[in-house]
Amino acid sequence: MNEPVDTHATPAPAAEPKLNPVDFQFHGKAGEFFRIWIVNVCLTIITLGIYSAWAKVRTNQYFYGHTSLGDSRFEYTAQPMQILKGRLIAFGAFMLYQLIVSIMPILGLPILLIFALVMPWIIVRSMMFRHFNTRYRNIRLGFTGNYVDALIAYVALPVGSALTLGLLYPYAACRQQRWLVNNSRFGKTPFSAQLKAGAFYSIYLAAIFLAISTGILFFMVEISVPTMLPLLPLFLLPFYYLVYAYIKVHVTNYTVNNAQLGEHQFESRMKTLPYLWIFFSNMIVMVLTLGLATPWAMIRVARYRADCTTAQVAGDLDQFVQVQQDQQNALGEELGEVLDLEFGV
Amino acid sequence: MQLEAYFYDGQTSKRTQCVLEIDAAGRFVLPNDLSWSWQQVEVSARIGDTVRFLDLPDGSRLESSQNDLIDQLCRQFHPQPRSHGVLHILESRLRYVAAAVVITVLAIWWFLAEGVPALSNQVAQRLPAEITQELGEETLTFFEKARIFGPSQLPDEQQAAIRTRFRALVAEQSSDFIYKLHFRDAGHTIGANALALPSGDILITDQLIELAEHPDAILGVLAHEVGHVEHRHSLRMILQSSTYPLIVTAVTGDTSLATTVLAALPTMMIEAHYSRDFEEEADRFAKDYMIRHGIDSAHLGRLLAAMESAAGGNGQAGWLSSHPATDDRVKLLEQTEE
Repeated sequence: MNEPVDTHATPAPAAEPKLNPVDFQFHGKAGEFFRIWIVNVCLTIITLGIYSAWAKVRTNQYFYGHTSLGDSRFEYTAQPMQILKGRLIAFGAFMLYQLIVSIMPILGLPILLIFALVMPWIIVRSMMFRHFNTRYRNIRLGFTGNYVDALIAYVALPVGSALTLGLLYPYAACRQQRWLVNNSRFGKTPFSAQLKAGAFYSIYLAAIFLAISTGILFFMVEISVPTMLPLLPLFLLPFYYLVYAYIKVHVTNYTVNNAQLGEHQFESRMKTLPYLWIFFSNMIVMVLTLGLATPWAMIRVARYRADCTTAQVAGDLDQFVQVQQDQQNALGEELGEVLDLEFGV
Repeated sequence: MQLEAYFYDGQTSKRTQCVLEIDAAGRFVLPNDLSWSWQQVEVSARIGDTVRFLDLPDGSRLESSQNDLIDQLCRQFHPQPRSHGVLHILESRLRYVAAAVVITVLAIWWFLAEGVPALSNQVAQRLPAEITQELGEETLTFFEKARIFGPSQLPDEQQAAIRTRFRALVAEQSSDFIYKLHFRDAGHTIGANALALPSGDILITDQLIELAEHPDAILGVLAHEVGHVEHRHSLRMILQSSTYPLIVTAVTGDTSLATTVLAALPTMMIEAHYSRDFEEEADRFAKDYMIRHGIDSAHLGRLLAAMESAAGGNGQAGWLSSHPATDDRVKLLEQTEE
């Protein structure tokens, strides 16, 4: 899911005068979206997956169209046929990979290496497609990131962090966020964010501290009450999510709060525990309803993120200028999705 | 007719609030004094009560939440591609939504109950026997480390007698599996039990052998375990279990760890169901073998009943819980069909 809040949500630091807070709002309703969602799922099953492209467009149109900033709604303009083509190509590539690997397993590694080189391209295309198809006040978002920077941020640095036992990981995360924000623009106006690696290091250090202290806690419980042992994973899960939520919330807040769009700034006030609660209770309810509560869960997350995000507007939002750009194809985004890449601010 | 909307010219983000007067021919004038007719407008699809965007030929746009009025104008002035309307009707009428819920649940259920087992059976039968070898070794190593079993206390002669019959049993199988019989003591852990690893390693506990009133019952147990191996039940189970997270991801569109957990509950329910089917299949395999050799399969039935009372319903191991009701199994084994 990529809520439009994301792409926009970018944050605000310094206190400049004449900034008016304008809130992001999410107006979607679980009951209404449930109907759309279940019809999507049902038609996707009946059409053996073909309809999934339409389902994706309708879902995004619902979420974008129910997100507003200063009473104007966001718009998702991708065409289902573009997405279907992208999906078919991605699916074909994936099947080809499976086929090659099953016939000649020795080619598995070289193909993975090639994939590592292609992935940054997919990420660039994916961001371009997503931004190109996001409009607000009839002005499109745009993305100008290039392949080499993506290769560094998404392949070279993660490999480097694996080689240094994770030491480089926060730096990689910082470079990724920087790349995403600083290459985004709204019409002709670029987003910018001065993101410092030090801030990412403190977020990840705090997360490690959190993980270690809960680890010790559970080690002690395990020793004192051995009968709890089989249930341990059940108890560990919430703490795994706690660390995940902590990182997610703080990286988002830091990025958004430092982002600028021309004179305008942004503010994100997400908090770890409420976010964790939404995440965790969503999961429980989804399990208990065998997945039927998924739409409700999606709506809750979107609402929370919108509620926590504010734009600090200098003057008004009338001054952005459109830029002409070519149509983007969906191949990148769909490859990214099929191959389960997750990125975004 | 009057349509309240925001107007954006597409050059800048300036917003103009306006009320459009749409005349009988569908013509209207925008705040920038340009005049268009409704037939020239491309209207975004209706999705619940999501706002609509009206795309004008010059790249300007109108944003309006008056969905019903817009639908009415579309019907009046330019029939939209029918598909738009159809989807909204499906999404807005309760009976279609209810039908979608039923179809979805049934389709997923059918796929889990029939499709996945059939597919994993196909795949499992095609996998080379060497793969199972590795799986079996891993499991044996795990048992060693976890100290679930001790060395068997059974006298050598008794072991040798059982081995002889076991060799005759496996010599009859045409598959590539390398069968090995392991005697183990499990007095402190799982008690009277036997299990088959995908590799053809079969473990039988001293406690089970002590419980058997007749040597033919032990042969029945061994045939049952060989049945599991021959039908590749472990592999099929592994393949099946790994499919569920994929399905959950496909339905919820979520790739996070949450869905893996989400998949756990239905997986457990369905797995219990499958493993009962597998037990039945293995029972039939054992019964067929015993009948072919003129052995009374009721011996195995009696041993099963004894195992159940030995377990005493105190939640003993998986052997019983994942098996069909013992009474039914005993009945199956006592039936004398040709």
